Amino acid sequence: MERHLPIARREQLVVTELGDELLIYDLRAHQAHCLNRTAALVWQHCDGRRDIPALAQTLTRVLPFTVDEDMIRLALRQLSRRKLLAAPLAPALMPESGTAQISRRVMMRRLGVAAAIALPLVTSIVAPTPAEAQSGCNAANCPPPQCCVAGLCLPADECSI
Amino acid sequence: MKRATQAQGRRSRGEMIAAALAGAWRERPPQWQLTHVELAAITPLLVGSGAAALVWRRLQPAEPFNCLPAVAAELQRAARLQALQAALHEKSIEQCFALLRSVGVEPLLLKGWAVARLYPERHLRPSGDLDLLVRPTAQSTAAAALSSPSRPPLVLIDTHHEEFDALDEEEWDQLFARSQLHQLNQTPVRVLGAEDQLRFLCEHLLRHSAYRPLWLCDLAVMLEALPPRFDWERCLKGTRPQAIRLACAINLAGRLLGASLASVPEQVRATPLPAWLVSEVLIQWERPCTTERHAPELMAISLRHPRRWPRALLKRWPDPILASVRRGRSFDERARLPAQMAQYLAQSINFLRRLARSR
Repeated sequence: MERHLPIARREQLVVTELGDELLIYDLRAHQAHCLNRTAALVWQHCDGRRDIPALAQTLTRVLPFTVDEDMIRLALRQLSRRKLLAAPLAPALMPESGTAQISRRVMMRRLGVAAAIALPLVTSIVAPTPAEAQSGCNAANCPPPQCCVAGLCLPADECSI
Repeated sequence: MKRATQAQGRRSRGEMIAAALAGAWRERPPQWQLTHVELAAITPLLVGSGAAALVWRRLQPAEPFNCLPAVAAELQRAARLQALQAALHEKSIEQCFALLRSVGVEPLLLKGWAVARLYPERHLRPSGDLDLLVRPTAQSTAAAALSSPSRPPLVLIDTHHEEFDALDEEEWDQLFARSQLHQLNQTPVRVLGAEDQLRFLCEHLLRHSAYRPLWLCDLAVMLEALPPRFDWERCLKGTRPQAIRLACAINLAGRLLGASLASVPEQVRATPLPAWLVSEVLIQWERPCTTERHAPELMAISLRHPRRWPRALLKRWPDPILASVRRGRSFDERARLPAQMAQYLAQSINFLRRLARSR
């Protein structure tokens, strides 16, 4: 059976922790993602040396519950879709394939809602833009022929005064 | 004038915001006081002003049921965004400092991370722009570097700050001599010395009518983290109206946010806080922090549409805080209307002069 040794992508990413969550901003795609604890641990342990069974064993040691291989596959699919792995996931692990059709919904039914909170979850969040954070303009960030009026950078044709 | 406080038993939104943020910067914030309904009423204002993460942290983990699920989701979302913004911002700071230093310019970081580092977690104090101070003699070199392709992307950089316009060369030297270096990851970042920092925060707060609650939180955080042998004389030096103004800003942090003023000299604490000032700050907090606050439509454009004149003229009426600062009036109990009228007149004359020059 083919061994899959996933590697987490590290370049062009800004990573920060918030409580149990890992927040990742992709500088290439300008997208932001939130990984819950389980997904974060999977991502952090994808070092190219651990296959799926090894990842499951590692996480079972770290987390207060048993992590099975289906959970790992679920996490890897979500990470791969958001391009957080160094290389795309092998086709055998993607949902179209018959061997990897376990969905999050199926796993929730299997585990029960209470335990489902432990399922790996990667969500995309709306990323901030510089314009949203603007508190004012000046000659440096609003060069001529634009004009800076009361904190807003206006196009040249509105700079009539 | 809208009353900033309501009848007994009902708080205004400004008062609710003050209650939500009181002590929120501490490792152990005070007990939560707001009801579900009150928090729901001010959540959009908290999110819009960048104070969501502070409040979200305050709601965790001991009292998770003090808000409606939709409110919790909104605050948590905003907190996540703030955490990401903080991480990106720190990267930009490092890039900026490296770039400017490579062209021989030593910048000083104002606000943002310079203050955020004092909070328990840096994302609690979000930063948008990067506010840098450079010597006037280095402005053109800095501007050229910051316009180059090497400048950090995704961030707006502001190098002009009117609070420092009046400094002469010697005063610039002294400002830099008093500045401090603090480590941000691999980069030593220069920030103002404590006395200059506190003074700057007070001035900045009042020059912008204290409209953003976070700015008062910054003051509170600083007041509770002053170094030993803090030089109050240096911090408060200036004319009597200036000193009173600074004292009022400090006392505002104590009155509205419960900041500890234990390390503040008695004469500062004893400076009376005018009722109009407290009231106006609470009113300012009830307005969203949007760009509409900064930028009414250009008057030159409004002039072409007579129907827009009443709104345009009304929009430019200065609030009492701004008027008092701009006209150099002392912060006392006297009515602010004369200062507001004087400021409105000065603005109008300025506008007419520019209009005449453009023709």
